[in-house]
Amino acid sequence: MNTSRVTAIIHRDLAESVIKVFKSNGIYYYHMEPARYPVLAKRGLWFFDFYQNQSIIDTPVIIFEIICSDKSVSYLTTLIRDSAELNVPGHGSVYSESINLLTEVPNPYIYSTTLKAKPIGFSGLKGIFCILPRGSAEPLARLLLQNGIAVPTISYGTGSGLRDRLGLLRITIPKEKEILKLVVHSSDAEHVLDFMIEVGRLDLPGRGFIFEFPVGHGLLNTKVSLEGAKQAASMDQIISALDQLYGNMDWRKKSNQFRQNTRHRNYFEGVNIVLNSKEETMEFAISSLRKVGVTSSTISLNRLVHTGNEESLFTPAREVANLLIPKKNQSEVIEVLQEIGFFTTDYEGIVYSMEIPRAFSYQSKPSKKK
Amino acid sequence: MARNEKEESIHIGFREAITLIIPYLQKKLWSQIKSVFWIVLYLSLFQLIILRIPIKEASVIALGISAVVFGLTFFLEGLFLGLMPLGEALGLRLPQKLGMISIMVFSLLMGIGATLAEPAITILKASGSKVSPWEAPLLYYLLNDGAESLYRSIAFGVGISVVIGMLRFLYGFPLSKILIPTILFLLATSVYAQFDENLQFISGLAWDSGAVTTGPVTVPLVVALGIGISKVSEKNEQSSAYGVVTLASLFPILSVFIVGMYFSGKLPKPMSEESFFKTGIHLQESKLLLGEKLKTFHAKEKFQTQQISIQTKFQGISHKLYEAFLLAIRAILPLSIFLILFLYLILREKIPNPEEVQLGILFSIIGLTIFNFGIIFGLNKLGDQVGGKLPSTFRSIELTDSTKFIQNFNPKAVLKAVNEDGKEESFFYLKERKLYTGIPYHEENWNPKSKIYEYIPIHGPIFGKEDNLLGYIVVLLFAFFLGYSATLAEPALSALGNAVEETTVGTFRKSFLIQSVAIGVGIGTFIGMLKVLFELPLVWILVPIYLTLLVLNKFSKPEFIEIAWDSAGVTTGPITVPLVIAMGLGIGNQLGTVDGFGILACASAFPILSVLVTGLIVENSRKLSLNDMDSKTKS
Repeated sequence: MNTSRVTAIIHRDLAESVIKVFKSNGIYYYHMEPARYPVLAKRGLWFFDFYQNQSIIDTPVIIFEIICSDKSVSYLTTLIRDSAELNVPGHGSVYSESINLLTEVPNPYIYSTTLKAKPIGFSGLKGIFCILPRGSAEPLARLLLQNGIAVPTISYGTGSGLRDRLGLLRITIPKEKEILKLVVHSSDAEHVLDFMIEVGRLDLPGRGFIFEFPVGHGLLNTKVSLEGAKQAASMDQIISALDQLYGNMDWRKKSNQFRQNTRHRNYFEGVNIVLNSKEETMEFAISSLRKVGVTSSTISLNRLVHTGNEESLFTPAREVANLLIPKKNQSEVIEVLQEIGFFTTDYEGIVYSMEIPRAFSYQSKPSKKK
Repeated sequence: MARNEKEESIHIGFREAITLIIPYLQKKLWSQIKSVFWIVLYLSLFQLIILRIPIKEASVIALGISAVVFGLTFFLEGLFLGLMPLGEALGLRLPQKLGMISIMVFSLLMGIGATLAEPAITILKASGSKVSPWEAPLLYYLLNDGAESLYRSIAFGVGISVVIGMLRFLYGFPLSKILIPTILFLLATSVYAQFDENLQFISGLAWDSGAVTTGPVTVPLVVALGIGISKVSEKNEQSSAYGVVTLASLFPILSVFIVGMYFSGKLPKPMSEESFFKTGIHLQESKLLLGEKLKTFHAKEKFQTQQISIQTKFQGISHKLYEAFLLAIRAILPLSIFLILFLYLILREKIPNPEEVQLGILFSIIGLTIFNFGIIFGLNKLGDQVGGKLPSTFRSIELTDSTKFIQNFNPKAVLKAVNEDGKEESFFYLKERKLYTGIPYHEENWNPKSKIYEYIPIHGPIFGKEDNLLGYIVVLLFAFFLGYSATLAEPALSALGNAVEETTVGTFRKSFLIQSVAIGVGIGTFIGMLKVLFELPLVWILVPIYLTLLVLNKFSKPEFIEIAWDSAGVTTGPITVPLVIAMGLGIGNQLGTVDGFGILACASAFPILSVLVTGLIVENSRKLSLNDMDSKTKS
């Protein structure tokens, strides 16, 4: 079965109504993760504006993730859009990605419906997933907002990698990371990627990594700043009206705003394997994967909510790990996971993968070291 | 990123290890220096510039303060590596493996254990010797011979509240459902106590002990346990992990009242000092009240200061260090052994990084040892010095700690002078270095046998005449800034701040929480000082403020309510409590107040207000991000 993952990023004040809709529409399982999206605050008094340094207000949001069949994506996204009124700037965004489920999962976990709806939002989008040390996401987000590129979503996670091989000395290296996700138009994607690598200094060792993922349809949040409306319509409203008018986001292309990339970057491709298991078990799974060469991963926490009447098949507290590996190693990884019993009740594991056309991180020179 | 390397552990040489450790240590130390800096700067500048009294034993205090910084660094790091992950792991596993009753029993035991380990409680006892048994017999009893039953009742109160807090997570009902009835009941009890001769003196103690219980060991552990349980609980949809700490500081108030009521009947009523010694009290009552001390009580000890040799001083320091170590071991070890054994033997689970947890426990023991030591030698001394001399802003006080003994004093050197009213006063000149200062002569300080004149310098009033208004205002302002800057350094608040920042994904910043709490504590100590200065009944302050809070709760989001109430319980920890008590007692002694309690209770009520109010402001700006400016009125 072709499956998709629908991600909805909803302002927390509206989350309740979305949850209500999930309950009433027979969506039995959904993942929930708290996050924030930054918004530029109103311009202060002239003298605080001296450095043109707008302060940022963090808005709490909840990221919902629902695994569903390809055919029900449109219906589901419409449902979410209507329940949270996503066409109002600032309410949130919703998008879908196609995934490749690598495990058997109990039936109600994947949502499917026969109801039809017209696809909403725009196609031709690219998502960007970026992992940074804790505290670095905000300056980057500020630049993204000030350049009007996109509204990023920031969530917390932990990273593993070199750190785990240091023994107890690892406590000296903070494992706390920030995960910054944003969705942009494909024509901008390469430049945004380049921009973020440059600003986030991702070409230095230990700074994190970034990858681009394909997005199906999406409806994006356009509220960049809290600047009060001086006109009849706010800038955000004008942007979304133009979006609807053109039916796409091409007119918002910003590529020519960015410096032409002067440096050739060594992008690599692969698959992103998403592991989802009971909390506090992921560490064991990841460490056993090290023998097949999976050296680094990003782990974040989320909650698997169950809405049906019968007993849930999963523990609500979950851990999610994103591992980026070359596609040829995928089967090896699955084998190891099967060996350690990742799919049994010890872990309650769920695994799926998605294609990653372009990824970047600091890489030591390919020459073999001793 | 994955380049099929075989798993290998990296060998780190000594030099590389150092290059890893030093920046790490630097960063952690720096953040602690920043938090302690303000309170130290404030206290020393206040003493030097406003009170104009040199700091005694400045070198020992400096040593003590650096110990506070080092201790805090290790202790907090240890909490994050050891106790908090342990607590969270238990919280995650308990509901999955055990039934309801076992969870309740575990929570009760953990609450009691954590409280008995809490170092701040012993500070309450230290203030017991300042209470007179005739003016407030019940208070005296609970702080002296009855202290054990006081501790146990507090610990039991905390245990019960942990149980209720965990039940709340498992069934997911809102905090206000417990909060409102509890607060109303407590207020009613305090009002009732106000009309009872004996009980009225313990309402300060009861509310204060509620504030004291939740310190740097209990809070992180209970919060971590809560985070764990709320994650796996199915019914808790808007997963929030707070609210237990506030319950843990409310229920002990109730249990102290209950214990007070129990002993109230068995103890004599308050009376004057004369009737206490003349007519006396029943033998049974006096046995309970005074215990062994009955005989020794009549003889008032006289303050004696001697020159202490360096050797005994050093012995004193090493003895104190040993004591601090024992205190730290007692606080951390039994509790962590209990948790680890529970995890391995009863739940049969393993934790991902056992060696990290062990290191964390070791760090917290080392940290707490150094911290306790630093508190005794650094902050407490500084606080006592400033607190004791604070009344000199509006009264003249005797500086007993800088008493001078003049050897071979000759009474012939005493001269006479006339004052404004034409009365004669005796004085003599004292040569200190190259200055001659006139010093009033008091016959009772002259000991003809040993030929020693005991000279107690008198200081103040600094701002004008006795009991002047400006002096009082300075004291009140001092109280505000003391509360504010001591809170910035409070370790439990820092731990809570981290947990809050983590669970709200940075939308509720740690620095933001600490600032708004600190302002609240400042206002609280200000009001508490008013209470001590004017001897207002505590009920007059608590009833209106808590009623306001309950009203504000109506308008706030659950997120802010829980964090606000929790931060209130957390604020009063090992840094604030001794400083505030030293200040309260210093003022109280000068004014002859019966009990200096109640400042802490105020200091933990007002932060709730300040956090709730800032919460409302933040909420407003978040609403803006949801709606456009002009459509704001719609929602």
